[in-house]
Amino acid sequence: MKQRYASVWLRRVLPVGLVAALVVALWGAYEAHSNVSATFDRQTQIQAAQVTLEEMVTFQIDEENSVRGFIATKDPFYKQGYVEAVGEIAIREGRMRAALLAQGLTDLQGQMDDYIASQNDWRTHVADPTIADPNLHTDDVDKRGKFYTDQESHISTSVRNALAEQNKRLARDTLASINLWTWISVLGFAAFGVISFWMANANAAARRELGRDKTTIETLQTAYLSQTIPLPYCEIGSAYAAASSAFAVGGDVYDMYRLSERNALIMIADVSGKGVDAAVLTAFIKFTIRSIALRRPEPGRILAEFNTAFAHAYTVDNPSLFVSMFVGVLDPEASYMRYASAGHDSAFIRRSNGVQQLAVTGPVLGVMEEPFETRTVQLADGDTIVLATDGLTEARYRNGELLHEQGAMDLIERSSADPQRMADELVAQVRVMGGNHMRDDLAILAVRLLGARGQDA
Amino acid sequence: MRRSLLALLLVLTFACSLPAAGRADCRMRLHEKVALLGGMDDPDVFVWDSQFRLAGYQTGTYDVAKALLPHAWVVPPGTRAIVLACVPNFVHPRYRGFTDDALRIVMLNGPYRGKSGWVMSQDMRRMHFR
Repeated sequence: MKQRYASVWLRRVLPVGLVAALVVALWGAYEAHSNVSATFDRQTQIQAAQVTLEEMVTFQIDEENSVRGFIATKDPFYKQGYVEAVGEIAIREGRMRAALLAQGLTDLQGQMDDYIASQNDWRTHVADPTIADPNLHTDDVDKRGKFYTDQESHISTSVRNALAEQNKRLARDTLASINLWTWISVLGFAAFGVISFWMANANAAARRELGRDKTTIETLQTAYLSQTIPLPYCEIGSAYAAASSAFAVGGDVYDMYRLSERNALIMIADVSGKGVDAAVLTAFIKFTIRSIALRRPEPGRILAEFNTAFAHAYTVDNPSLFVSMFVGVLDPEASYMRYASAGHDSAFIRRSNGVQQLAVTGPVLGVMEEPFETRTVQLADGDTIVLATDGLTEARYRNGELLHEQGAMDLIERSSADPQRMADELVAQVRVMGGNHMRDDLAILAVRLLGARGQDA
Repeated sequence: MRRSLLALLLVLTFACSLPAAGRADCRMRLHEKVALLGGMDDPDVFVWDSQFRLAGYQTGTYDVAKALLPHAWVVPPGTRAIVLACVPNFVHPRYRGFTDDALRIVMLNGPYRGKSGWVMSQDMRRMHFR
């Protein structure tokens, strides 16, 4: 049967889009977060480099002031200050070079070379000779000292500016990147919202359509299901319960039909699909079977002829469609029934000594051209033929376990003898088992033989 | 007539080549009284014998700058001076991202009193004294 309620778009494309939108949204958020973390790490490194640079400049000034102090006072304390400052600068030079390398500021390494060369020259040509002999201090030494100090000052300013610029550039790039990923994330979440809204609307529309269809199907089912007609020497009961979910409604049919003075047709069938199309098919089944049975009241032939007609009418266009069916021709007066079963295993006879399952005599209809065996079963007064659809044998307990044939037979054995009460009780039992929820449609047809005395009574 | 025109042209050429002292875009005014003061690292100030050597020192490579040193005096901080001329944005320090004016000054006190030379405006402060 054609799936009408949830289109491929709704069932496959939109969920994929929903997941994709969520992935994009989360990806954007993750990237934005990663960018912030990476920038934080890099800015921390730059700040460490800036602090190291300022410490270098401070020690450089300490170094120069120590030399000036020694020249002015000849106090050895200043000599010690000079020596310590030289050591501290060497430590920070290593740190500074590592920081510049980590930041990819390789061009500043050249400036660091100049800075260190200038400092070494200052020590060689100014500081060391002056400390060795403060009286050697001359204008020329002053000039050289000023020159090297200028160089160091200029270079440190340059490096300082480059680090600040690097920091700004990093912040600018990161801001742009965060903006981009935030927008991607926002768009992802927006798409997620739109698709969710869209799916909710589409689902609601499908449910509305399904609700309408369920009403239509139930109307059709009720119309197509036979009313219990009186048969001589028999009591008849029937029940039908639609599935709770509108998706599972449609496709069950049973029929009773008086073929002659002595014979009656009893039939139950279950179509593999659900929905309006399946419900309409049940009408085809009911009236086609009646028509064939009137001409040939032979259950095996009825099924065989129906199989051919069904294949021409339906399965050419829909090869996955099939029908399970039980057909019986009952002679209540002679107390026997001839029957054939096309893959329909929910057919039983309740006797005084237990419940017997009637064997399947051929494959389901619509699958292959096969002959269907007709069997005869003798009946006794009080025996009840119970025909059901798979809503009975495939009923589930709350723990998910299937009832199966044996469970169905147990239920039938424990049910009332009156056919109508039995049918109602079976439906009620299945409903209770599922927690007042019907997973599938369920049709029950029960025919109890009374015999001549029973009828007279 | 020809001679007059030639003389006028020469005068104009000379006038244009003169330092643009006191121009509006110079940081110091002509005849302004200032005190020389270097940076925090070293407050002494280099005073150069030519505006080009001043610019060369600031712009040039390490070796070029070193070679120019015989053409400069190291003047102690606080030396007073008067601005005689200004060439705006003439100096482009190599390691700094700005340009500076070259200023011709005459020193009013200290060991170089009466001497004239060139400094950057960055190496001087306005002094409000007479």
